[in-house]
Amino acid sequence: MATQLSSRLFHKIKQGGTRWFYSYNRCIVSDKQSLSKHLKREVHDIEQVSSQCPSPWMLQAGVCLIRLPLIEEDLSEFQKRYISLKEQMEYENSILNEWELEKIKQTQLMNDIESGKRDASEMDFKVSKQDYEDDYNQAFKEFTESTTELDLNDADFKNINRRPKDYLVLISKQKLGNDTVWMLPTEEWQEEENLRQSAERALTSHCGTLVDASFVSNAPSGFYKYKFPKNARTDAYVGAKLFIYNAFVPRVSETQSTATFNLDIDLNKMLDYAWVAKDEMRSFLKPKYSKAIDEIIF
Amino acid sequence: MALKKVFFSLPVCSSRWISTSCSRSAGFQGSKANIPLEMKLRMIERKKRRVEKLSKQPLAFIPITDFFIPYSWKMDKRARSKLEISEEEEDKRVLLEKEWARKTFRSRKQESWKIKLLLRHQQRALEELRQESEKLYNAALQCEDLSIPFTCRGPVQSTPLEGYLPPLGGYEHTDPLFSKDDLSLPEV
Repeated sequence: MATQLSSRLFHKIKQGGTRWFYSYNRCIVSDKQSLSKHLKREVHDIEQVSSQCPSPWMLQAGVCLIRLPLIEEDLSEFQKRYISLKEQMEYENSILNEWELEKIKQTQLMNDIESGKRDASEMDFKVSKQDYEDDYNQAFKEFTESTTELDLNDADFKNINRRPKDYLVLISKQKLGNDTVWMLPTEEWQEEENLRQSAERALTSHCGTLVDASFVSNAPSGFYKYKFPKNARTDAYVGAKLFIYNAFVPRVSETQSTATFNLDIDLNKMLDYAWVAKDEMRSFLKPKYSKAIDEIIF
Repeated sequence: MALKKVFFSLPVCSSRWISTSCSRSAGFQGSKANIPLEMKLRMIERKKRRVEKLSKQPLAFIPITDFFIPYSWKMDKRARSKLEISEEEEDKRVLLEKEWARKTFRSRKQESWKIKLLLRHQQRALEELRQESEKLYNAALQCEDLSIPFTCRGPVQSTPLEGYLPPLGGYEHTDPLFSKDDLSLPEV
């Protein structure tokens, strides 16, 4: 009975790009109805069932450690055009300021002195504002922005400051049965702790206690269900339900985050780790797994 | 006092007494010039008490008057000479504005869709959790031990230059924050 319930839990059909239909045990529920209202009935049935036979799914908590972008994205061509238009319009709708008024007065004075209308003794300035402006413009032309920036090694997956414009996620290589698999740091849920604590435990056991990440809520941010490979399946567990918790790495300075990890293969379960952007996830993780994480990162 | 009586005896309707340019509480000119010392001291004491009352209240912030345009700015000599904009240029500008409106609407829609997705994923995870165990589900709904308010420093425009040391020190605000109430006492 329990295995039947778990087989076709979610089957989503995308219609028109905006509406989602969930089918649960072959009955279709529109997203406008509240899912929980529908599931409450079923939960009652499950509880009766689960008291007879426990669920075959191992509960796991995983940590989606996110490094937020360090640098803004570049402005697109259209945005630059719009900004220049707005600056132009602001200039056109503005009034003259004191500098410009002085400039006009000084040019008028100089013209009058040249034409003889006024006396040369009325000059109350040595360097006119126009001359200052010419100097400034000249200096601006000669100015070259130094292009030496901090050396950012984008190719090194272990560098936390790589790809500063993207959201990065930490994934680690772990043992699953006899294979090594790239996945989020996960830990099995133990009795007498709630899921958030097991997620925090996953973080410290895989990455060490030096990582200062901030978890946002007690509720999981995402969900992924998978079956173990056949040699790893036991009588108790067919697969696992992974509840993913979002955590954010703090920023040390304007352009740097730090998180120090110890790759101790015996103590930690982490054989290898990588900071990975959204487009690179497919090459490391399975497609469904990467999709589960993809939409949790903003 | 005699004058006051004359005032009230004027033929005015008692239900609608409209005061004109004379202020009701103005009093008479020069009425405070020749006052005996005792009266002056009494007035000063009354003012002291009023000042004490005011000083007990919290200081009020200076109201912001940035939006009052100085009159000298509205003079003709401050006006910039108007640039001639051709019809083509005007059309281009209008079309650019419209495209901007369309793009910002679309990007806002995308952002709200992303937020909806985040919420949906969380809802789904919670419902799956509920199927497994009610106890864990209730624990997940708790509002304690959350990092609220969640503060996060945003991205910057560019990386700092190599070997650049920013100058030390902070900023000090020197604008007066509080309005100066009329707490000065009159001279005897």
